[in-house]
Amino acid sequence: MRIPPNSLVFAIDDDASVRKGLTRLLRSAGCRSEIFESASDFLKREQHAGPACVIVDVRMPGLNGMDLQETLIQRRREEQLVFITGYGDISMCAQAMKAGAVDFLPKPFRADDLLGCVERALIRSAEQRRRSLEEDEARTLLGLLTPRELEVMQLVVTGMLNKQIAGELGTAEKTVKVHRGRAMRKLNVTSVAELVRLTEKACLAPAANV
Amino acid sequence: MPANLVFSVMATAVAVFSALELAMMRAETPEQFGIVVRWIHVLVWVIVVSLVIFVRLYLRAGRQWLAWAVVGLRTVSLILNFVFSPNINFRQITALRHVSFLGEPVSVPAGVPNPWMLVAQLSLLLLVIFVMDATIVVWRRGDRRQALMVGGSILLFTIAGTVEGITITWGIVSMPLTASLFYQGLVVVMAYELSYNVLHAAGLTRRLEASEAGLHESEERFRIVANAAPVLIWMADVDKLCNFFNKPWLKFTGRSLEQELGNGWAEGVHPDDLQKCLKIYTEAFDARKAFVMQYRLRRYDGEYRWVSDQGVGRHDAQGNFAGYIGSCVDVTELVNKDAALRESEERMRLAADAVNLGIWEWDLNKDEIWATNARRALLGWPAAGRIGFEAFISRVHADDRDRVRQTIDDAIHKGKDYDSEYRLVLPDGIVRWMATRGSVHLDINGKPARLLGVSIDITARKQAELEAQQRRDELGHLSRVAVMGEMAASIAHELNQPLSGIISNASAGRRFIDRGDVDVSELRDLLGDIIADGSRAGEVIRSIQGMVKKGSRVSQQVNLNDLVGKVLHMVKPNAMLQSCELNTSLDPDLPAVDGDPVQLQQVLLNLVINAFDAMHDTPVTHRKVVIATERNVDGAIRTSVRDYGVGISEEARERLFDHFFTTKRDGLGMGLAIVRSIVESHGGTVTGENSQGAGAKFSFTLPASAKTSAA
Repeated sequence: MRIPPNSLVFAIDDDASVRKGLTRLLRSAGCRSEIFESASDFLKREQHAGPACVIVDVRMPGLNGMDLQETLIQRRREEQLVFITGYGDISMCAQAMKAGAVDFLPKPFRADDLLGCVERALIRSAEQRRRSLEEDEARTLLGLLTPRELEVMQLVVTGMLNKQIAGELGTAEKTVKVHRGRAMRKLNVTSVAELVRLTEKACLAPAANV
Repeated sequence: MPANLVFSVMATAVAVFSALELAMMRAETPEQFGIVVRWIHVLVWVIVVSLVIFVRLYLRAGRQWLAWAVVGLRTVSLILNFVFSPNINFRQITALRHVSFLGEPVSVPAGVPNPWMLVAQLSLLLLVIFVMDATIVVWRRGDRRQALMVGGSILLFTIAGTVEGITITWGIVSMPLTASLFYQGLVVVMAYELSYNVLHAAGLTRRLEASEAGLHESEERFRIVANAAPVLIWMADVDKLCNFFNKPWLKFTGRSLEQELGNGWAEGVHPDDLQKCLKIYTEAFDARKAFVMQYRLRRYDGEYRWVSDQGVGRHDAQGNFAGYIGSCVDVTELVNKDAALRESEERMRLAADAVNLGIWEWDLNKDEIWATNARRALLGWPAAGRIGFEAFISRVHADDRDRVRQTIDDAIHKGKDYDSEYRLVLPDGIVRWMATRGSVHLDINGKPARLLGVSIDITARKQAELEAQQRRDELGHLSRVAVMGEMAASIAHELNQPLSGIISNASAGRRFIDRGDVDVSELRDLLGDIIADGSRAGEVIRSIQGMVKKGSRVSQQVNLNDLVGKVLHMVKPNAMLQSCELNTSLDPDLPAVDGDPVQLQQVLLNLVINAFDAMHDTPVTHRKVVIATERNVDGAIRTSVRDYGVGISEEARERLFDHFFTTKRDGLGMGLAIVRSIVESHGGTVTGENSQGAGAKFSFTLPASAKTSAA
């Protein structure tokens, strides 16, 4: 089993037997794990910095699995969810998967299936984490630009020439050139292709779509 | 009156006797004296014979042979008196002495006494014996006055006269004969006695007259009474003709006395009854016997009424037959009632036979059972002959015998009504169910004397009951299976939890081993958890089996709080699946009820599941079910399930507990019907009503167990 470093698995189930079994199983697979009796207990814990996976029962007293998923999405958290259920129903399953759940396992699940899901979830979480770090980085760099420079850059990534940009912005071609050079230096890129990748990471849409 | 004639003769004789005594006293010569004495014997004979006849005739006593002996001996002595000279008293009178008697000089004889004189004196002695005997007879007969008066004085005067005569004639005393004095005393007594009778007769005549006047009066009184009597009274003379009808009779027939007199009354008798009526009347009359007859007599309004006529002979004061007196009573109502009773008895018997109802009576003292013929035939008993209790009980099914004995015993000794259902084994081996009801009748001392009752064949009903029970059981079972179906989600959840635990633990264990990283104590805990989860899964399976297994009803003490706990455990997953809050409010010291735990659990489970179903459209935050137990004021135990769902609609309210009535899309409409059938079979009631606020509340109430609960 390939477990990304610093990853942590959370298991939330109202049934003590299930909780105990899950803890042991995760440990046997070499996963660090923490268990909770209810979703609200889990939410009280501060967010784990590394890759994280949450195994949660769909139906629980109080906040159920679906409620938890909704909450996490609202809070833009990156924990990947694996649903388990004692009595699954298709509509819930579909809803959960659409909302980005890793998988939906009916109890009693096979241990390997669950661990497979956990592995996928952790990898996905790690990936997510990495992507979000890059985005942060790109956003930081983009944050260094002046508004005029940002405007010029947004037009550059659409593939416009300096002359076309100057026409678009109602300024001189020479001025566009100065802004473009200064921005490229600030962003530490040497080519338009690098600039495009950076803006993509920062999830900035081309200026026409802004 | 011959006695009076005798008395007259005797009185005359006594008078002559006195005269001759005087002559004796004045006699001058012995010859003269001798002649007087000779003639005086004639008078003595007359007096003695008169006395004998008087006693025989008047006192109607004295032995005849003694009488004849007295008369005979006296006659002999009279003859001897004339044979001897001068007389029977003296052989010879030698001289006459003159003595002074009461200041007068009188003659007394001196001479040789004649020994034949003894014959005369013997006759007087016999006379005394005869009178004595007669007096005793009269005394004994009860006529004491007569015995003392007549018999006593005859004796007294006879003895006195005789003694005087003997002492004088034997020369013992020297005095003149004064025996006539004694005989005169006799005459006085006899005269009194005879006149007493005359006086008595006069008194009797007066009384007779008085009583005849009384008779008239009493006859008048009779008429008044007879006319006032509420019955019809008639009288007939010795010639069978009627001579009296009282006023009620005349009022009844509406005819006059003249019309009814003689044989006129017979005109009012119904023609169909007349011949029979006259026959009884004449025959009884001729035999002087009392009679009773019933016939129809025409009333004044023309309607023939049944009368009961009783006639008895009547007799006058002297005991002579004087005809008949009779009284009639209108018995039409009774006759009708009688006929109605006979008819109703017949109807009753027909009805009893038609429904195979047996009527029986058990005489406790004689141990004899009487039963209607149909019942005897059923039991194979002969139509006649004595049947005892043992003969009956031997026909009762062996399994029911002790119970029947006990019930009968209770009925007899505790005065309870006897009410029992038991099986009879008929002679051909067929078993029939009987229901019997009876009650004890006491004798005048308040002791049980008879057990009286009816019995009916209820075999068909019993079979139907058994079949109905079987159907109920099957329905109950199906319903429980259906409930289990509704609870499938919950059951799956219940099973999947421990199974998940088991699989997780077991997989973990294998991984530890594969990795060669085995911590023995960890492994031990892990296996312990697997065992616990396995048991838990087994428990779930068992509880399902309990609910779906087929079986006949058992009865035991059930604590409803425990039952709520069990059901709570079963439905918790359901509640959770439906995000429904589940609360309880239990009375901590709840008495137990008698019942079948599985069936009662089914009741509660049905109600709780219904409560969940009622809240499908209720917002999640409002979904709540409250199960409560409480004790009613009357000691019964109420268990209620309250939901916050849609409540009961107006049209559903009426048919809530009907079979096949449902408001659920996929419901069978059996749940509440079965709830009611179970609760009612436990002697309880179930109700459903809307709660204040929202939702509905279903409650069932069961009587507390009669036995004191150990719990």
